[in-house]
Amino acid sequence: MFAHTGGGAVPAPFTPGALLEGWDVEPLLMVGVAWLAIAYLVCWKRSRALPGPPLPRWRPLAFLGGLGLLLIATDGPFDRYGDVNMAVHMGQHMVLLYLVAPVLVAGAPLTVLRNGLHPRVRKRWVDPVVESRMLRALSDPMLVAACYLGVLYATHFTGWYNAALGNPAIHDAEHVAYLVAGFALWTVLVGHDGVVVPRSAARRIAVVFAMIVPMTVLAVIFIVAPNPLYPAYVDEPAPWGGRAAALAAQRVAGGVMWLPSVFVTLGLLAWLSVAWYRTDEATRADEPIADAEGASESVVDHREGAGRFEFVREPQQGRFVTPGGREVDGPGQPVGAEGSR
Amino acid sequence: MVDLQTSPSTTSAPEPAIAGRSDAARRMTSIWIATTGVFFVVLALFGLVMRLIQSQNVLDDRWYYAIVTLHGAGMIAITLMGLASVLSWVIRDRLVMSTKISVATYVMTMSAIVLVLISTMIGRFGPGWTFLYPLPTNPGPAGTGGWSPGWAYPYYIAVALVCLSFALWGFDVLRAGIRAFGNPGRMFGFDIVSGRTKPTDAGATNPSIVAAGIMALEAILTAIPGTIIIVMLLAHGIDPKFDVPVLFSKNLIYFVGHMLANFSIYLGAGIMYAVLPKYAGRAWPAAKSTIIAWWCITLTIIFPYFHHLYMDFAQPAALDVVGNVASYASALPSAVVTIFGAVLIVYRSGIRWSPAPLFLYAAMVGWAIGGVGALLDSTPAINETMHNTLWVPAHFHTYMALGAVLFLLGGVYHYAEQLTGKTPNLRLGGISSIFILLGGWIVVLTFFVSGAMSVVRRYAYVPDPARYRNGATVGLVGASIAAVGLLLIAGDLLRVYVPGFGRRSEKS
Repeated sequence: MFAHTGGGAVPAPFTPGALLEGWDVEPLLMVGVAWLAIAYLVCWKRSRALPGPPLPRWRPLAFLGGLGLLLIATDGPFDRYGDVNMAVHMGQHMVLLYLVAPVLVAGAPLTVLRNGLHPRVRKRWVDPVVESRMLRALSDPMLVAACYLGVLYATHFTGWYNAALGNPAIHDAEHVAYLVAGFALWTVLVGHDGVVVPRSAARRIAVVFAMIVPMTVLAVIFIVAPNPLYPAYVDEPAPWGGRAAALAAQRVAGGVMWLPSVFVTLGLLAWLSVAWYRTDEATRADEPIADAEGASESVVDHREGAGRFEFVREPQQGRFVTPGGREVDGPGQPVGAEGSR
Repeated sequence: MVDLQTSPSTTSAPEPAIAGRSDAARRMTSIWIATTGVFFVVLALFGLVMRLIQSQNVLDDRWYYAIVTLHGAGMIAITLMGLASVLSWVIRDRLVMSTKISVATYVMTMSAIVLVLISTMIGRFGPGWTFLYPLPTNPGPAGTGGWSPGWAYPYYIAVALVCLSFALWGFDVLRAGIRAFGNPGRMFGFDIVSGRTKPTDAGATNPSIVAAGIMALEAILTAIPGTIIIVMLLAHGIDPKFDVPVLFSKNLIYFVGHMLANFSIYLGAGIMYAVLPKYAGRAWPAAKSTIIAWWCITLTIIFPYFHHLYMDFAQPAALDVVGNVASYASALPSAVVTIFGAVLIVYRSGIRWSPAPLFLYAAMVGWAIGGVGALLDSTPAINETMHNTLWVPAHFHTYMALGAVLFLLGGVYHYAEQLTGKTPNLRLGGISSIFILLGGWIVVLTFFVSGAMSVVRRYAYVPDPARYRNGATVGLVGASIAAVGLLLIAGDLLRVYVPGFGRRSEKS
């Protein structure tokens, strides 16, 4: 499953060999990941048959890569040593939040799933939800960021985290919560997913700025806390347990949480600045584009018969698609014929 | 904006009305400059007193440590905010910055300096400007050279105020930049790097704006750890049971201190981009290389601070390696783009060396030489020998006093006429600059030589061997010469920047 706490053998001190030997493959997780991969590929293949510009091939690769990273993070040495060392455990969570989640989002799974559904199901059940005001409200970046922070704070400062160390089911729930929260946050911040209407880059930049302080405070609490916050680590047998070892690992965990968040913040700011710039450049050129990197109000093309969400600008191709379906290679430089492919 | 292709000028003539350069902004910038000048001269004279104590043992040691704290913290804060105000004026030709925020940052900075003055001059608070925990609140009994722990708190609040004040300035720069350019990408030169816009196009960003923008971003990022460490230290003061992890606090303090000190030099470079070309009669547009170098600085400014912790055995060795590599890397964008760029701008330009370009060019020399001193000290093998010697104040004073401060003076001279309608006495400025440069270089060279002789730093007075004091004595002479130049310049610039100051002498 997602974790293997509670009653497992205590791992020996870490050696490079553990990178090969420290795997605890969970069949249920493997099966789940395999089905997700199959479902994604089937939907992706079906979506390619629809009219409109096809999804680029790197997106399925990204999604499959994200699933692979998920297996590594939850079945590999991270998980084994995370049960006894908080710093490693925090590293595992950072991989889930800052690596697995964005790579999965890069695969645009929501759009692929939506496009792969039977047209009747899509029109009757999915599209009304996608176009609903409620989804638009719920996908506000500020709200999603608040929920993301709420999950992080709730799991770390209630009894959840400590309970998770002794109960695999709670531990799995914790990891699922991180994945969902991370997936939602990355989707609304940088996702190129037509299901969620992206907000302006300025708003998303403001959200990234607003998250800096609470994320930093969360990490610093681990660094400055005078005592171990989770008794389960103290109670671990030698050589992992004991107050001193648990406290040292907890302080390192704070650093593990803080440093990546600095890089992620800078990277996000750069990314969103580029997105804002590209949108603005397209607007300056008076080209009526539907979107550039998801910064305008809608990336969903609801043309009659189109049947699927259209990625109006694919970074791979460097093309924009006008509402009329005309492709342009940057504002004002048509490269394609009128109409969609 | 002045046409860069015209013949070399020696002053900044009044410009046609520009939205960002309102009368209120003009007044506020003048107030910033005048206040910075007054505090700077006072704090510089305190530096002279420190060399006097070190060479002649004329005052109690406690005074030395209190003055060294005041001198360090005050100089860092006032130079930083003074440069920020001048750079703000530079970029106000394109950006409409908020005068209210300028007033707010002024009040915050001045409050900070007053708090530092109170804690050091009344409370004799003297742990050094880096206030490493737990010394500020554990100085030892008052009768044995310590101070009352309560004097640490005004100082802590002052540090937080400076961090927040600079962050506020940063928010204003980014806000104004985004408003002026429509998006941060154009402000930071994405369009130029992507080839969509030529650096010489009318709407293109310029190096001063890019520099200000990068520093603005870093200012915001620095304010967070700065505030966190202060909150932790205050919490420890309220409840002594709250234990501050010593190594963590040292990392935070040196990160913030390193950033604040480095900001000054980069802000100064931002001023130079705008001013030096006007005297050389050449343009300094935001070339791709310049912009990319500034993007690199976003990261290369962050990580060198680890070189301050080489001596801390508990610090993971990997971070030492990061500090070493990052220190070397940080030199590349500065040296390759800004310093060589300035040399090429000046080379065979027929530049007329009035005080403004002279100070700016001399600042670049100080930056380059001080930077090399810093690079040497960031090499672990050298640091092991040199770190606790006067080598450190040597390189630090070279790029601060003979770098950042001279950038500030260059800007102050250049924009005097534009800001006040009055012209500084260029002849007096020229003469004073000789005093300042001669005296200043004597001061830093004595530091360098003393450092090479392993004279310890952070000591009020080294009684033996006596030769250790020779450097301090020669340094005192240099500081006296520089002080004469500073006082001459200060008098003239106060006449220019402070309404009513020196009016009687003007009439006569």
